[in-house]
Amino acid sequence: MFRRFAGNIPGGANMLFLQHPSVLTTLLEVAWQSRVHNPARPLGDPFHRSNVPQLPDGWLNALKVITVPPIAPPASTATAESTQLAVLWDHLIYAYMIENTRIYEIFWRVLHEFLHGEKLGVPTAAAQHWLRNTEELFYRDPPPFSITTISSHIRADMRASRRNAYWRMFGMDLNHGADNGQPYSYVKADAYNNEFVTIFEEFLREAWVAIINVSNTSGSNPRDQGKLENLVANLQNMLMSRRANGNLSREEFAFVSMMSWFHLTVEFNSPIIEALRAEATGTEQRLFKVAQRVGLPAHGLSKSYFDIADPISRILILIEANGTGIVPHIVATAPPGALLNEIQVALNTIITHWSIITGRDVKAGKVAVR
Amino acid sequence: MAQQPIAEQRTRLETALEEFKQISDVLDVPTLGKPRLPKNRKWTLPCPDRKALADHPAGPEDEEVKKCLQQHSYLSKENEAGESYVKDSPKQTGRK
Repeated sequence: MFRRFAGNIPGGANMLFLQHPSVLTTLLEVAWQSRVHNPARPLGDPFHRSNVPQLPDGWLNALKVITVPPIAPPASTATAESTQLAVLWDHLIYAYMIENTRIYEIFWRVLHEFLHGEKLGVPTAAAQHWLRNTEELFYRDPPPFSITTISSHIRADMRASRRNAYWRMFGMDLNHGADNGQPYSYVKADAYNNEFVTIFEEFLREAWVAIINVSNTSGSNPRDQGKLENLVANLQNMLMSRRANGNLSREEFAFVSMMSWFHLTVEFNSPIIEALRAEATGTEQRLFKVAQRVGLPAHGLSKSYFDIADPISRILILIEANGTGIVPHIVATAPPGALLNEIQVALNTIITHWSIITGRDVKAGKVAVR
Repeated sequence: MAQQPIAEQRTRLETALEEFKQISDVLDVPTLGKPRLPKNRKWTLPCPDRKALADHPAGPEDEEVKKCLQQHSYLSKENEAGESYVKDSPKQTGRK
């Protein structure tokens, strides 16, 4: 969310970091208020994620206009009210990918050092604002009644809550444990998508076959549309089962918002990056330098995690929204030299980086055992 | 398995790609070195506090900072008018 609030880099991002934390919280509340809401779709669908309300409109509308200029979401992209796409947020997989870089723990240490002493030097004036906002928004309990308030006596540990959500939706834990190297303790729900990784990889494998045969209009064609449809239907059912009645929607909104703040922080030489003398070219290179300064290494494949996060989020949202309707576009042909369509381009990126991240080459053909 | 009517298949075909374009459009993010998000995807954000603006890394010559400072000075004038009204308004007298 925060990357979209910024509007541009670095200008909009620098202005965003100077905002008061109450304004940033109001922005999130307004984003939830403006979320796409099509009641004709099932609850939990990408276009009808939740019926849980934001702050009462009278209260929130007063907060919106109290600032100069008043807070306003982007204009809708459609005319019919039921399909207005003012605000969507990334899929939970986005938060999973970004968090796998260890960015949250790395900036924990950054804040710890800056707020307790001067081992990392004295933060610049601009960095002071970033530090205040980050501590206020992401390293303490959220304000009461906010839509992002998902911590309580019942679930006091936000890191554990995130791992619980990832486990339920993807059957995956993060690639790192606690700081002391021990496994991180969290509630592993019995209802989780234990087949997600297997089915998703098989889907990527079949999608790859379709992509490399995009110009194959004569002769035998190994594309298997039927199998792709079966895999996509499986994925859709799996993901939507975890989202029944809007389950996990608020958590997803809170977690992707959180991770997008840190992602934005390292996407350019932001004030805190300059304060840490961690300027570099490339998102992952900045993170590596920050990690070096605080003595906690980032994941070595962080570039792939950053690069896969956006396209995989969009593809999973589309699968949830449209199911097997995506398949004809995966297997669509194009004349030689023509460009792939947007869905094929996104899948191409996902396939490349998924193979790097997992170490399993999705592009390699299956070996038939006789 | 029964075949879906061709018209329905065509609609799902168009819908999926159209939906992906809409999703990508709404989820579009700014990139370093590229122009800002298009106007219809841009949030209107309030100006930060004037004291906070003084810490903007690009300084007071930045266009966005200048715009905000102009708005803040407009607000200051309103405040001055308010104070003047309070100063000039007649003193409240007690009940006669």
